[in-house]
Amino acid sequence: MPLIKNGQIADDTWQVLEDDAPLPEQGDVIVALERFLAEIDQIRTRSGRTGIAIENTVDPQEVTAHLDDLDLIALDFPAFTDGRAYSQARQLRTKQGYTGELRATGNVLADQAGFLLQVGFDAFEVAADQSLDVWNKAANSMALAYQRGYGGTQKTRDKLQAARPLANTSNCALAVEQSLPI
Amino acid sequence: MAKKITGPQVLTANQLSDGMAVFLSNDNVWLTSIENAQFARSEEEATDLEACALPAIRSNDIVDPYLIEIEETEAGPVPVEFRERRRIAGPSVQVTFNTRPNGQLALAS
Amino acid sequence: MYRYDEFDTTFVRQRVDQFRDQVNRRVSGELTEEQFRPLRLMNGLYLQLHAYMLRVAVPYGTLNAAQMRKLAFIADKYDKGYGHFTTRQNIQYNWPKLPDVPDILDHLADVEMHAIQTSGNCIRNVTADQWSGAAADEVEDPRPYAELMRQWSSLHPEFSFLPRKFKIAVTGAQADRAAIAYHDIGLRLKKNGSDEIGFEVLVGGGMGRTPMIAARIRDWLPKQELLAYLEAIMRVYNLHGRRDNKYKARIKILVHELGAEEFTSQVEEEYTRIDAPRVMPPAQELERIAAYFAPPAFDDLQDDSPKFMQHEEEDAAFAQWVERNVAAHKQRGYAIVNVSLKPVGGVPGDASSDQMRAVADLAEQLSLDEIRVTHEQNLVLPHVRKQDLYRLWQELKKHELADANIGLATDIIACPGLDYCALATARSIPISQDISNRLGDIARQREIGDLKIKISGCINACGHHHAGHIGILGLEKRGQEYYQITLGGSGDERASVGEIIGPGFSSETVTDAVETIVDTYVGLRQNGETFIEAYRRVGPDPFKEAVYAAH
Ligand code: SF4
Repeated sequence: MPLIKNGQIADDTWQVLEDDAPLPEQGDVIVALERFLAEIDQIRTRSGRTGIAIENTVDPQEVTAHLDDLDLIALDFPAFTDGRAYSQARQLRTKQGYTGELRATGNVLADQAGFLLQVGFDAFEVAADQSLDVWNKAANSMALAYQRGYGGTQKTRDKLQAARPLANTSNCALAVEQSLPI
Repeated sequence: MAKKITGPQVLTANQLSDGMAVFLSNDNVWLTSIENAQFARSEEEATDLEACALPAIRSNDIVDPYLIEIEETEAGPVPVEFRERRRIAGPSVQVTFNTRPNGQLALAS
Repeated sequence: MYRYDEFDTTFVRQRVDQFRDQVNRRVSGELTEEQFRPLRLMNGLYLQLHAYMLRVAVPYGTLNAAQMRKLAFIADKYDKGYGHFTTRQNIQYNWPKLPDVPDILDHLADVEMHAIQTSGNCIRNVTADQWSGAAADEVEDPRPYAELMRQWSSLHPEFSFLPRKFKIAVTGAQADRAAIAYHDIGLRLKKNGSDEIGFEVLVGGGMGRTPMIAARIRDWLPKQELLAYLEAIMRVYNLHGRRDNKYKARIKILVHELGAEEFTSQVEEEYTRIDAPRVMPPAQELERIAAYFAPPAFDDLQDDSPKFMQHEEEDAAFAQWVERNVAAHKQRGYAIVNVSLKPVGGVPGDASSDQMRAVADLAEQLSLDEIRVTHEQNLVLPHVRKQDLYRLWQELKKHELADANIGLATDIIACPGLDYCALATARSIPISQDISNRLGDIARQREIGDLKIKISGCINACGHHHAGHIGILGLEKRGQEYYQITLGGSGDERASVGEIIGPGFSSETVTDAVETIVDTYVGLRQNGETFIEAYRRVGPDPFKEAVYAAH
């Protein structure tokens, strides 16, 4: 599965560890949540980085205590219409303050890219035939967002207004200028 | 796996461009009329007929193909299911509005 | 009313471009139908029985004349010269072609309209009391909050792939004209003891196969906290709403399965975790939006217009229309005019492009450029001077828009049913036409009095049959349509779910059954009670006896 980060195809240094495979000393591995919790002491002694994959039915609060031990959290989209991981991501990024890599896995399509970025994902496992151009175009197709307090590159009205105070709009729509500074 | 059927089947779909109901004809083209639709009379034929949708799906001409059971009547094939009969007949509503030059009235009833 | 600024305009244009790109990718085959379907649905484009259907949002039911004219233009240029106003205050076009849809959306954007989230498992068009800003009985105009929610819900990054669709309704009055108890979230503006304004929050109402009346989860929510609190509700639903069965995926099932108390405590807990100041709009943003909804420039008038009173006295037909279709306005000398889209024997909610243009002209001349769409599939001219009512009525008559039947037996709600809808099990429009013709005599309608008949063409209940005093649900058995009748439903502040009275009726006999029910009511009512009052007093039995004895 190709990995997209920062709008580029990125090298994936992470390896998903089967549940029965021994825990290697080195290298970046992604383990299941249960294993992570069970073997946390061993994991802390590794020199390589550790990440977890959690299902979209898991309450992210379960890992709150371990966020410092984690360099990656993979959240799953069993179908791209199953949007639970958006809320998991949001919870991890906001109240829980997770700052490591947040990876979207499963059925991850270009037309979700903007939303994924906004809720805090920063790495995307996409289908082998996903064109990077299409991905980037879709990811940037909306330059604006109404929701305050979300991430992503979209500007909210507050940001836009701070940059460009609007004239009195009391009775008519402002003319749209062709080139917005966004 | 062969599809279980209880009567002759025809293959229908919607046209991608305008959503109109279409039927695969004897000449292997998709027509908006069911009159010359191709029949499948056995389960094997039904499976084969269903596969005939693939080229038109790949060429992005049709979407959502499926088989419907029909009854053969003097007037041609008539779907067994009520919904499919309505789908062919069009809205039963008499639209009596004034129509504009470019908004032609096309509702049959 | 609200006007787009640079931000809104750019947003909507970009959404059109995004959708244009998606359509192009579909037509070229880059997107499969599976991939495209949820994308087109996020923009209100359905594939129906005979053609595509485009559902255009009329946010909280408010339109101006230019917008209505544009709707007429689209009906002519891209459709068959008419449109259908729905129970969600939207308008539907029944015959657009896929490649034309991006152009239609561009035309809509020209007048600050869109089709964003009129379908799909996301937050749908927020609906509101159609008399907002005009009603004599409201504590505050709910539309600024509806607009705030429109913006907040548009392309919400977290809540665009919910378990199921999500509908929010808001009212500012005690009389519930927005059926808030039948919504996923219902909001009512109210005053507390110290004269502050806030919201009462209801969650988990809905129609469909499991009709439910919403539970109140907050008696008081300070109004500035609205979006943060909604975020908590939506997150609990997004994470825990069922996704294993589409018939159990609405929030009402979650509320029901958890119990209102447990659901409430989960929401409240999530709410404590939300960084509210981060997600809430700054106060000046609320003020910015509210300023657009400042009362229009009303004339300073006497409450009574002698001219109007004279016409009322001299012209009985006009007086009847005033009695049924005109409501009290909060501004002295003004009235709210309900424009019926229910001509006897007509298609409920349908309007021709000519009618749309006529309404647009009249709104401009006589209603301070405002039009409303109601969830009962009618239109409203909200700000008419009483002295202009007679002239307005005469103009409406010319366009067959002056039926004096608001709230009467022929003011029937009907969904498109099997004449258009791919999900339908039976037709609803012809049944509605038949009943309307049968009960259409205006003297008889007036004699019957207030009566809400609502018809859906399948269990999804878009025709709100559960909330009908007489509800009719179209089903199919062995190739035949049949119709189940429910009695006693109500969508107002005393919301109730109608009860099935017994075996269904064929399309030939359902009108007889309805007539029998109506006649039974007329026979047993006391002291001028309405149908629903009488039903509540006597229960279903007399009606059952009459209907099933006769058939
Ligand atoms: S109630 Fe059923 S038939 Fe009617 S519009 Fe809704 S889905 Fe279609």
